[in-house]
Parts: sequence; C-alpha cells; structure tokens
Amino acid sequence: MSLQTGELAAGRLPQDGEPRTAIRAHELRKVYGQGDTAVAALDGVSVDFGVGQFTAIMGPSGSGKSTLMHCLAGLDTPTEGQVLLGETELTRLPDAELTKIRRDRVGFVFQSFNLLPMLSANDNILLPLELGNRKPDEQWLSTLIEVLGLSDRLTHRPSELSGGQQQRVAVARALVGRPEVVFADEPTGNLDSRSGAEVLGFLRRSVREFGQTVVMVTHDPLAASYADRVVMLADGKLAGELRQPTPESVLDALRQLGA
Amino acid sequence: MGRLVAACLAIVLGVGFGSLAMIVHASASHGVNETIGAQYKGVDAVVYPDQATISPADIATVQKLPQAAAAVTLTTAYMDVAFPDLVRGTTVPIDALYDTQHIAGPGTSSGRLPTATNEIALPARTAAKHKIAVGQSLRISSYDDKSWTVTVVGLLDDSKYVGSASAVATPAAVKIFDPGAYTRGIALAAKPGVSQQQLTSAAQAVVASGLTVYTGEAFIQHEVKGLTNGIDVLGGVFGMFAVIALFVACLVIGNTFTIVIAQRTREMALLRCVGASRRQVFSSVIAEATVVGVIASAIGVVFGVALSALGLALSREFDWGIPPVPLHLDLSSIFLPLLLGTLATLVAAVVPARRATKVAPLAALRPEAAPAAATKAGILRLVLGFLLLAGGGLLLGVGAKQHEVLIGVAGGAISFLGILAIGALLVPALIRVIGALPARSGGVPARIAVANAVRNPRRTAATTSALLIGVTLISLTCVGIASVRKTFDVSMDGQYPVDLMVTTYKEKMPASAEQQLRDIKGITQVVPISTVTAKAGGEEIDVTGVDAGKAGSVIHNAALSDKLKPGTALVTYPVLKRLKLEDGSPLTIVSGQHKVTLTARLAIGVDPITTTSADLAKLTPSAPVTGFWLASDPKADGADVVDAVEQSIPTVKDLSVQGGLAERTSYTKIFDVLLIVGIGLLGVSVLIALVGVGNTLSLSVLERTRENALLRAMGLSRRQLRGMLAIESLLMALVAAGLGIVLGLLYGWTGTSALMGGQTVEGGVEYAVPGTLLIAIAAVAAVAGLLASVLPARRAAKVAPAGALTTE
Repeated sequence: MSLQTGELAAGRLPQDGEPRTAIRAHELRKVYGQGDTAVAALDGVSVDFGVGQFTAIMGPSGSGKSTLMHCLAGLDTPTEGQVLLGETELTRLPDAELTKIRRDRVGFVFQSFNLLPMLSANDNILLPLELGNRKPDEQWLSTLIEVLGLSDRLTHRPSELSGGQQQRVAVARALVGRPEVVFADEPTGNLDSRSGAEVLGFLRRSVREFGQTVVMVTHDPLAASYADRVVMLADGKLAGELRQPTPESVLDALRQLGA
Repeated sequence: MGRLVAACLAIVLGVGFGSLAMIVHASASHGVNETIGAQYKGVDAVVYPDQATISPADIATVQKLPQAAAAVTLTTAYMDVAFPDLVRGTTVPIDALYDTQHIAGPGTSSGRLPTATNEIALPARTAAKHKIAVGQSLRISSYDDKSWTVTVVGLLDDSKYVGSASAVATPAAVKIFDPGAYTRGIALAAKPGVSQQQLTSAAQAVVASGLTVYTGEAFIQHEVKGLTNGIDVLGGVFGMFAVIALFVACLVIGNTFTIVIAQRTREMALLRCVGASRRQVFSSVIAEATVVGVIASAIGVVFGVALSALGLALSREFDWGIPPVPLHLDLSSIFLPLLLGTLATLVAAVVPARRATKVAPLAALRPEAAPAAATKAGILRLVLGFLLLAGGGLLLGVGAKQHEVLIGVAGGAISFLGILAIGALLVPALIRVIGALPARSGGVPARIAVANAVRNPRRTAATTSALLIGVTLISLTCVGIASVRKTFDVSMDGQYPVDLMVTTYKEKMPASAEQQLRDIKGITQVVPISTVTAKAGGEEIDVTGVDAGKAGSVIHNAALSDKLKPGTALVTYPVLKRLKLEDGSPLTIVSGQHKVTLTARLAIGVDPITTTSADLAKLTPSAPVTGFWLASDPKADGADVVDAVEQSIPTVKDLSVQGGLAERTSYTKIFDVLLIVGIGLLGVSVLIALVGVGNTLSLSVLERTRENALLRAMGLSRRQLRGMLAIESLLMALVAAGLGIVLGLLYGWTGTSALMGGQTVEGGVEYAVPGTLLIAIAAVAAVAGLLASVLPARRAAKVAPAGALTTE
C-alpha cells in the first residue's frame, strides 16, 4: 500500500460512512522553551480518531508522537490548538477537570512503570475506578481478567509478575472503566516478542469485540500493523497515513519519511 | 547539595543550640571571674576563717607583718532594715568600709560613700527595688532590738555584681550597730618586691591555727567557685540538652544521606563502572559530608553567637537571674560546637557511605533503578533491640523498686535504645494499626499513603525515631514533674495539714487581726488559736487550743481533725517520743495550779500539743489569741496570698507565717520553671526532628516522582495527592507522638518512683497523668507533622503527569 496523498491534507472533514470521531486534535502546537531555545514538538497537527478504531501513531524519535498523545490524553496542555474528547474541549480545562477526565473517560497503558508497586494486581486494576469512587462492573471485570489470563495473579504485587503479566494488568486497568479512549504509549517497548504479541492481540481484540477506541504510540512497524490505521508524524507535523497496514507497508512508509 | 538543605538545617539547629549553651556558660563564668577579680583588686593574700573565727589578736599580728603594705579587716553586720515599702524589716548585710589605698573597695554610682556613723550607702539594685533615693532616712535595728536612724548618702554601683551586694557603712558605725560584727577575713596587700606566695606564707605563720590564708589569686578562684557552681550545673543541663539535640540531628542527617545515596545508586554504579574503587566512592561521600558538616556547623555557630548576644542582652534588660555579663567568646565555645557538628555529620554519614560502596557496577547498566526496594530490618539488629529492651526494662523495674535513680536512668536509656533498634519493626506495625481507619474509610489515597508510610521500614523508623526522642523526653519531663509534684502535694497535705499558720510570740495580736486576715483575697477561713506554755512530763511545752467545731474547716486531713475532740490532745511525733508516750496514752498537762489529763494522739504538722479550746480553757482560763490558722482558695496564686499574709497586721513586729501553702508555693514555682525550661530546651530537638520528617518526605517525593505521575495520570487530583502526603506525614508524627507519650508515661512514673520513693514515708509515690499537657503534645506533633508535609506536597503536586512519565 502506498501513501494516500489525498488524505494528507490537514483538517479533513469526516465523510459519510466514516466512523464517528472519538477524539479530535485541531491545529495543535506545543512549544518547549522560550525565545532562541524554543522547540516546537508539535507544529500544527490536526487529526481525528474514530470511535471503535485502533489507530497507531508512528514516527521517528523526536517526531512529537508522545507529545501528541499526552496532549490528546489531557496529560499535558498544548501551547495552541484544541483537543475535543467527544463534545468536551480539553485544552481549556483546569487541572481538576482534566484529572476527572483522565480518571473517568480515558485509559492508559504506558511503556513501563505502569503499576504501583505497593498495590496488588487487583488493586492496580481497580485504581482509576476507586479514585473516582465508582463500582466496577463485576461481569465486565471477570471477563477482562479471564481474557487476559490474570485469574491466578490477582493478589500478586507487581514485583512478583513478569513483564508481560504486568502489561496485561495495565491493559485490564485501562479497559475496566470502559473509557471513551484507551491511550497506549509504546506498550510493547519493554516486552519480549511473544508477550508483546499477546498484549497487542488483546488491544486489537478489545477494539473488534468490545468496540473500544485505542490510540497507540509506537515506533515498531510490527506493532503498528495490529492497528486499523497508522498516522505518521515527522518533525511535529503530520506526514502521512496508512489504512490496514502490514509490517511491510509501514516500514516502506517510514523509509519514505526518512528519505 | 540541594537535597541536603534540610540536613544542613538540622545541623545548624543542633550546633546553634550547643554553641548557645557554651557561649552563655562561658560568658557567665568569664563575667563572674572579671567581677570578682575587680572586687579583690590589689589583694595579695586573704586570711579566711575556715575552722576558727578571726580574733582581734589575729588582726593585730597580721597588721604588723613587715611584708604587708596594708591589711584591712572585712567586717559585716547583719541588720534589720525597715524599708518603707515593707511592713516588717528585712535583713541587709552592712560591710565596714576600709582604707582603699592599696585594696579596691566599692564605688558609688550616685551620692558618696558614708563618712559619719549615721550614714550608709545602699547597693543601687536594692535601693531601686525598695524605691529608696539618696538623702532618704532609714530605720535600722539590730537583732537585740536596738535601733538607729541613718541617712542613705550614696548608692553603690552593683551593675556588675553577681548576687545581691552588701550595703556599706563606716567601720565605726558597723562597730556601733553590732559590736561583735562578723569578720569575713583580712585582706592583705604586699609591699613591692614581696610575692603573693611569700606574703601568704608569712601570714599563715603568725595567725591562729584553724585560719586559712589564701593567696589573692587562690582566693578569687575560691570565691568564683562558690558562685559559679550554679552556673556550671546550669551549663551542664544545657549541654546535656544540646547533646540530645545533636543526637537527633545525627539521626536526621544519617537518614538524609541514606536516602540521597539510595537515589544516586545509578550515579555511584556508573562511577564504579568507569573504574572508581570502593574506597574512592566511600571517600567521595565522606568528603561531601565533611563539606556539609563544616558549612552547616559554621552557620550554626554564627546563629548561636547571635542568639547568645540577644539572650544576654534580654537577660540584662529583664533580669532573668543570669549575672549581668557581657558576651564573651572563647576559642572552645566556638570551635567545640563546630568540631562536634562536623563530627556528628561525619559519624552520621559513615553507614550510608559504606552502603554506597556496596553498589554493584552493574546497577548502572540496568534499564531502571528499582525505586528503593523495602530494606529488611536486620535480624541481628532486632535481636539486639529486644535484648536491650528486656534488659533495660528489667533494670528500670529494679531502679523503680529499689529507689535507685542511677539504675533507673541506665535502664531507661538502655530500653530506649532497644526501642530505637526495633523501630524498623515496631513503627511500621504501629502505622498499620493507626492507619487502618483512614485506609478503610479514606479511599485509595489514604490506603496508598499508609502503604507508602510503611514501604521502607528503616527509613520510616529512622524518621520517626528522631521525633520519638524529643516527644518521649518532653512527655517524660511533663509526667515526671507532674508525678513528683503530686507526690509532694500528698506528702505536704500529711506534713502540713493547715495551709497557713500565722503566729506571734510574746507580742499581742490586735483585735482587728482576724478581720485583716479575712480581708485578704484568697483566704477562705480564719480560725483563731491560743498558744500557752505549760508543763507536761516535767518539760515546758507549747500547748495550742483551737475551737473543735471550727478546726475541721482549716485542717485538710479529715482523719486528723476528727481526732481533735474534747478529752484528746494531738501530739507531734518528736514530743510523743520525748515524753515516752504512745498513741492513746494518757497525758497530764499542768499550768500553775490547773491540771488536765487528756488522751494523747499522734499528729503530724501541727503545734507540739494541740487541744480543743475548751480543754485549753481548763488550763489557762481566758488565754489570749496568739495566732490564726488559715485556709486558702486552691485557685488563688499561692505566692500572692503568702505575700499578703506576711504583709498584714503591721502592728505585730515579728509575725511567723508557716504552713503547707508557704511550702507549696516555693516548690510550685521551681516545678513551673523546670517544666518550662525542660519543654523549651527539648523543643529544639523536636524542631530538628520535624525538619527531618519534612526532609524524608521531600526525598521520598523525589523518589516517587514517576509513581505520583502515574497516579495523577490515573486520575488522582492535586488535592488528593497533597492529602496523601499529609496523611503519610501525620501517621509518622502520630506514631512518634503516641509511642513517645506512652514511653514518657512509663519512664516518668518509674523515674518518679526511683527518685522520690526513698524520700517519702513508706515509699509512697503518686503517679500523675498530666492529660492536658499530653494531649497538647500529641496535638502539636500532629499539626507539626501536617506542616512538615506542606512543602514536599506542593512540590509533588506541581509535577506535570506527562513530564514525569517520559523523563527518566
């Protein structure tokens, strides 16, 4: 598959038949530093992520992919531009409101250090719910635990779990509150290939079977190939997009970016 | 260095306090030395009455010594001076003036020295106290009731005098006032070319045996010693508290270094990777500790000097009882705290530095430094701790039971060391117990706070230990003083069943006396008594009669007042022994041709023999009122009441005021001062410990940056994060306070038993629980714990969740 240049234009409106938008970035700019030392990590990025879609954000180191994800997820505030989560504009919200949004409406899986060392796997899974004083949906919880194969690991502390198991606990935690969007930041970065494949499989399954929206940042073409769509980023700008990617097509696209 | 700021603060406080103690002590000692030296300027030898008194013959022979340029007699008459502001006279020593050509004498700050026998000069401070001005007349009288009117012609400069100075009069006047006036000594000045030693030997050879002759220098030392004993004791107490403060600072510093080094594990490992030897890593930590120690100690000394100067200035201004001395800095009071502070820092850094050398070079290559896994409390340490605890507890028990203070103190110290040693086990366990409630009802943040507080038992234990020491000592002081006071009170009630006993001998009580006493604020009951001298068992003994119906209102001890019935006589123990009687024996009292036989009952704290006024009337019909027994309002200020009673009934010249209230007032003041001083001095340790709590928290916050960021990403609000740290801090403070208060109660009670048990009848000791004080201690600890969390919590809440998650 080659680059579909027609879709590179920023601010493309959704057309009929396309999925509804779960989260939308409009003309995002994020500048670090001031004056001469100012660096624009994001330089006018506009992109939509559809409901029930698995989107990968790719790009070389320093392309701004993590910054984009942090801004989308309300972990960081952009210098300019807007982020719309459903109907809510995140960019104008004070910290307390953003905190609530992170707690109730989005889920996270990070590359490493996903779990609190002093809590058991079970407590880690329920953490966002308990922070918001919400009761877990028991049926959904047991489905997740079963699907992720964590039944006999629930009372263990993170230090007693393998890397793959830790990451599966993180996935369970991200999904348990049925958030509007799950953000995954290099979720397989620290895993061996088998564990990584498992985790990516679960993320894709959550999209296919449960209609979850997932946005994943990765630099691994193999990981990106699990997604429905790949958004390319370079030097803080959108640099292309792939549909139904394969590892080869992703690698190709990355090579073109590097050229 | 930034991370070590709090450790520096702990050192600054500890060293500052230590140097304050040393400088004030040095200044006071130096000041006394100077003052006494100035007082005896020109004195080369002193004949001092040690075993014998100085006779006129001694004076005459010494004056004839060929080596002496001058010999002056130092004579003092003790006179009763009627100051206009007092109802009754007060005793003032009056020194005889002498020839001051060779030997220094007192100087005046206003007026002149007396030249006639009807003139005196008063010390300026005494004059100011009684509002006497130059030119005023005073009535003075001798012990044998002769009196003179003298004019105050000058005020003596006593601004540098230690203690209260004497008044002066001419030698002739002193001779008139008291022909047998006491000779304090003979001061000699040597002729040129004669050494102090030669003069002293010559004088010793001619004076009567039993008189000691000092050289001038030795005599000054002798006098200084007499005056500075108190200062040395005070200095010692101060020093002890300073050492405690420094010890607490040591704990805080050690803890800080341990945490900082744990956080630098990768840095250390990298150093080892590129070829640094263990010794070099160790040295680098020690070097850093030295720099920190020297700088912080230097700041501490400067701080101490400034505080001392301020304290001494305030003391001069408000007369705190310290001699009015100028600031005196000597080498030892500057360099000793500097040295001790640096040493304490070094000692505290040794263990962490050794731990730093154990970092494996590989640690640098691991992807992520595991955020300080919980360190397991060493088994050996625990075993040792339990042994110390058991042994110390046993000793403490023995000390309390046998009333051996030293054994008790040793037991207390040993068992406390035991507590500190098992702290890594005990403190987290207690935090879990106290934390159970917030963990259950306070939601996730509270649960995480409890988990955070116990995840590193060593660190938590070290942090709380510092606070525990201060709280334990303060509680101990409060409990001990309250218990000793209660013990005193109970034994006072036994020994002094009547608050105040006002009596006069030989003089007549005016008819208005009873009303005058009733009018005094704080006096609730006044019962007149009559004392007559009668004969019992062939001896002349005072017999007091009191109205049996009213006696109960002024005697606290109900058992005692119940014994006082017609037909009985209360007899004190010594009298009972002397008359060879027993409790319940018949006692016959004779006065003139009257005679009564009463049943003797043992009593404590009343007159030698006390009967009902009806029985006394059988001995001496219509005996005059000679005194009153008073009851006072327990809420009134005892000192004020006693003062007012002493100043009442001005027509009676010699009024004796005794009883429980007078006694109680004198020691109540001492206890109050002890309590305030103790709490104040120990407060410094608590302050240092709180700096330590804040420090541990802020270092933990640094360490948990990623963790907190994760929590924030998961939806923990800033407020919840701050609350989480506040709970963690509060838990540590409360455990330290709770444990400290419990220990303070145990130590305070056993200490009271060890200290007082041997001094009360039947070893009875009262155990007090100063509830309000202890609650206040817990409340202060809790509030301080919350305050200690403010800065670390603000820092933690500022961290943006995204930044912390990506940067590593």
